[in-house]
Amino acid sequence: MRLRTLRVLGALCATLLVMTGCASSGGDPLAQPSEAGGATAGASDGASEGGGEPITVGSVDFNENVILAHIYAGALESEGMTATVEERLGNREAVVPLIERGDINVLPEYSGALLAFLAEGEIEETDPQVVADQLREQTDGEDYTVLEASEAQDVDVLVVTRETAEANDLQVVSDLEGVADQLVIGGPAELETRPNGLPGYEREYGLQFAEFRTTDAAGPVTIESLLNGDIDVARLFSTQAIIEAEDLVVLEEDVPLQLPQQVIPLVSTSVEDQVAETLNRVSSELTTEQLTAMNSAFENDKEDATDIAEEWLADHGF
Amino acid sequence: MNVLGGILAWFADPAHWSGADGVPVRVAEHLGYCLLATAVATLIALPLGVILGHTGKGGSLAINVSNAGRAIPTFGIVLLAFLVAGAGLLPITVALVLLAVPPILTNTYVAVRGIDRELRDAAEGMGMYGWQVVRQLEVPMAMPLIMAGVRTSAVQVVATATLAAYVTLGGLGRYIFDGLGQRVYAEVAAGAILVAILALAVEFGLSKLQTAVTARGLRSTQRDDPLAAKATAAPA
Repeated sequence: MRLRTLRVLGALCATLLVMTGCASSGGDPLAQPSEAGGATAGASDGASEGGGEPITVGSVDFNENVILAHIYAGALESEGMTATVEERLGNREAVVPLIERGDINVLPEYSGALLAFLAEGEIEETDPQVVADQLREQTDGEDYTVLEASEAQDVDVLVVTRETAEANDLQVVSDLEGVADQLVIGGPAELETRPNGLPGYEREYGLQFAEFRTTDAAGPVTIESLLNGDIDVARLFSTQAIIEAEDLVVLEEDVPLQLPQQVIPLVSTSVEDQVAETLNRVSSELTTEQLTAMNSAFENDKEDATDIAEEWLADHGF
Repeated sequence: MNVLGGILAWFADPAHWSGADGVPVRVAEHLGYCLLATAVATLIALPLGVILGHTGKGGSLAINVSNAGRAIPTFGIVLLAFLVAGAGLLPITVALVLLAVPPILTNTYVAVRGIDRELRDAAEGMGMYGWQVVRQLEVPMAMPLIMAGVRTSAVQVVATATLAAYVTLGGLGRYIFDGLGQRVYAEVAAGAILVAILALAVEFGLSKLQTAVTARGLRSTQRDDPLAAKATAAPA
């Protein structure tokens, strides 16, 4: 057999191994042993000093989540604890296992998405309080738990350009009735199949779009596709700075469909007592408007996540 | 369901073999992106490599520049080109061409440059002009190595063309990205397996093409031809 053919075969085997590894470990494609994690584990073995165990706040690979992680860490530091931030550790599938392993102790999360992830199923519940309660049940007996949810939410929304909104007189989701079949909708692959994705819009609003185009999860591909007209309707997140920056129109839900996504701290049970009071205070102060403003500061004004977090902490007495 | 069973079930489902999201269509799209990119890359790199090898000027500079280009992640180029040019074939083609040029360029240059000085002297002694030397001596002599470059590029391109799915196009990457998003890991694995099979098939097809386009007198001396190795080993 030729050398190159052998190499290709080798690559095939490696791919297979990685794939099977992913699937069998319950979906953990990005998990990797991180040095920081090792250091944390080592530190937590040592004697606790001053403000208790050193806390590692993780974040997923998502701007808003990074800012929130810095807010959590800053708030803990203001209470005399030692807290570090591990930024952009991957997606939820990769980061939640790090909490289970103790590599990180705190993670800013979103109630609905976290519940769907932990319950390993599709959730159809639009009441924030019910979702928060279910989340608490779901984490019962695990190595992690959730603290108080904040009123700040970052929910999935349908967005159109100002021109599309004016041309079709669109303000709420049900206004899409009658025009949806001429519009192309774009979003991540899961939008096509989730019960609160396209099947939900058909069920609750009777909407059938002309075409679904897979873009990404409210990232540059979706935004660029919307702005240059490749798609007419985009699935974005409600606190994204781009909505204001590009004068986009968010279609309000007149029939509740999307999961509530309250910002909520996910913490290891080992540090729960130590961090609960402080992080609950953060939750009680945080609002959706602040989230949007901080995202705008990060994405439009290119401010540093730590500076944005410090400013918020100073404004709220931490 | 166990992992292997899930993958087999995915392949066994007839729904995955028809329609716009069926395997035949996705394979055809994938091959389309690859063919376009490899063809464009060959059209750029082959003449350039021959000219550089023939004249012997600026060769190492050109190769270093094209190799340095390989350090840029293809993913970054795809996304950047998408943001600049918008949806369509352009972003993925630009990225794949940049990926495919260096192996072809380097191999062509090295092959032409490495032709025995005496053969050139003989060709010139027979009265050949520069262009004739290129066409009748250098390109045929260099062909096995040039084709090796094309094969290397093509296999890389087949594996990397999965990124087309990231910028709203189709191809086999669709299974990988959609499967990850929808958490259908059997579909992700199926996509990866299809890509690997396609890469092997392309490699095999091009090795046949390589034999076909290599001058008869050079075929038996191909260093990686197992039949040739066996033939020389047999008398002993």
